[in-house]
Amino acid sequence: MSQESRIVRPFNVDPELERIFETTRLRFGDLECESGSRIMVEDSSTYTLRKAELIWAGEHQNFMAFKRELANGAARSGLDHKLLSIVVTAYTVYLKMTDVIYNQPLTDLDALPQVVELTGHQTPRALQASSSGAEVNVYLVLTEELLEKPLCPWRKGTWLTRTRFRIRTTQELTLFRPIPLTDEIRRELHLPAKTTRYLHMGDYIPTEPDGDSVEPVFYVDEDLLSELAARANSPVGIMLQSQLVVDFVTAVVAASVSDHGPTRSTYEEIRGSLLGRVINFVAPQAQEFERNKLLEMVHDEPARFVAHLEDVVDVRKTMLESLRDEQR
Amino acid sequence: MKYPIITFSDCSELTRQRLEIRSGWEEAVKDKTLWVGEGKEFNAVRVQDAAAKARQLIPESRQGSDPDRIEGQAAVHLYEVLQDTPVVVLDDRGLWRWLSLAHFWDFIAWREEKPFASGNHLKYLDCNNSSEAVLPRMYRRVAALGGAEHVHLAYAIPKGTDFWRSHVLRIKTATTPAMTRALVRFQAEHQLKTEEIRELAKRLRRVWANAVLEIYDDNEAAGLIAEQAEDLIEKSNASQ
Repeated sequence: MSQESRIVRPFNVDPELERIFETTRLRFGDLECESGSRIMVEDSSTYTLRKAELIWAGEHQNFMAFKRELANGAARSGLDHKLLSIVVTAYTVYLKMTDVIYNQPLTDLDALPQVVELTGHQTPRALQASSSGAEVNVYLVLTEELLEKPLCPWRKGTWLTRTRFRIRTTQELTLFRPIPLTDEIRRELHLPAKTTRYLHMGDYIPTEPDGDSVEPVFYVDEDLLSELAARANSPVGIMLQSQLVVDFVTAVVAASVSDHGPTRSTYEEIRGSLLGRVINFVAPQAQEFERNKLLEMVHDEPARFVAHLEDVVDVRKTMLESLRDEQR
Repeated sequence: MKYPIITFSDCSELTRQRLEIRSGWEEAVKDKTLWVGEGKEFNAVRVQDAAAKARQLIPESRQGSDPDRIEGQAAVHLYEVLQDTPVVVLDDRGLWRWLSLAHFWDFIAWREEKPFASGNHLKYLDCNNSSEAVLPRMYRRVAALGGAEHVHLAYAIPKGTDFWRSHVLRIKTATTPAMTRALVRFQAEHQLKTEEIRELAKRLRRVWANAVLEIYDDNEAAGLIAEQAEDLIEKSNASQ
């Protein structure tokens, strides 16, 4: 199932055309994902060697229907399909670089191949960022300026429909992003009034590789979070941040243990899951067997795993520095 | 490429050392520098030259100087030495930390004098946020303009700190050189006031939400900005 969110557009687009990219898939080396979802690349050394391809529709006959629908859907939206183009961009977040990596006008629909190679003989810059990963966006775009008409697309570049793929890497710095915990959310989640931190798992399974379910949300009290943002680099700010990492991981470990039941997994089986990312965070340079040992520790001695994490984050140092700073 | 990095935790520790102790700091930076990657070695000598040129731009007195314009000029020197560096290397925050600590400390400390004085300096050095940390934001300023051909635009806006930070580097405009160039040219010519440029940025954001402006050329980008700014300029002219 697609996770693509939709925004309200200031004009009408035929609903079938709006869904045209739902069957599109992104292939990145040996990994593949569907419209609106993401790929996790574990081995950064292979990142720039991977071929990126887009696959329109599934079977060949579906691809024929896909092309017909591009033309018919455009007509039902009041546009000649020859005014449209499929534009694909790649964006990488740290360097904030976007490359237009494919631009196929629909003037000649026969020229559209079912599989589009995005890397070609030279990999686009945005697809070389192996630390930050990338976002691949696919748009159906109006390529000419038309006369302005209410509720009709007219500006050159206006997209009629789009989809997005994310290529994530284990080197991404963010293990989690805290979300402000407000009184309203406390009420909604039936939390006590003075709760400061809460990992809301919803129906997310921490040992399942990225699937369709919504990621868990790590809530932190809104006042605490804004104070923390204002003093992020102070000793107490650094100490609180390291403590939040420990709190988050402890909650993930607890959820993994309660979820796990009688069966055991290997690291390979949970690679790409939230728990897999946590293990990678604790031991980024570790060999496979070391990661398996850590995974066993999560199951058998979760408290010891958290103790390992404390060592990695160096909670002791941040606490001491915070206390010493108080005495100055 | 084989290149030098400094880890986040070492960056924090080295920064503290530099501010509190000073002596032996260069040696400490060398000790904490790790070389990663394979193949041709990163050219550290050229970086030294760029850092020296940046230092030479620092005026004796801040009075009457335009630090952002100087940052723009220094950005050109930095970009020149990094423009052929592979993206995979530039995407590594560790490289930017090494550049900041090993070569550009003086320039960064001058540019962010106030945060350094108040102890809020780490975000300008740790390079986790490429719109805040001085060196990545300098590189990105020139990259956002489309590179070497357009470097003069990097210092075309007087007192442009807020312009670059809020209206280019932190938002989508920075990803599209034609749009960045058009916005810089427009602002250099019309000198919109803070409220006006904010309003223009708001209007552009609305257009971005519905359009793929990455396919615009320079003329189309300039036309779009002029169209969005039309009544802002009329109001501005009427008030003069």
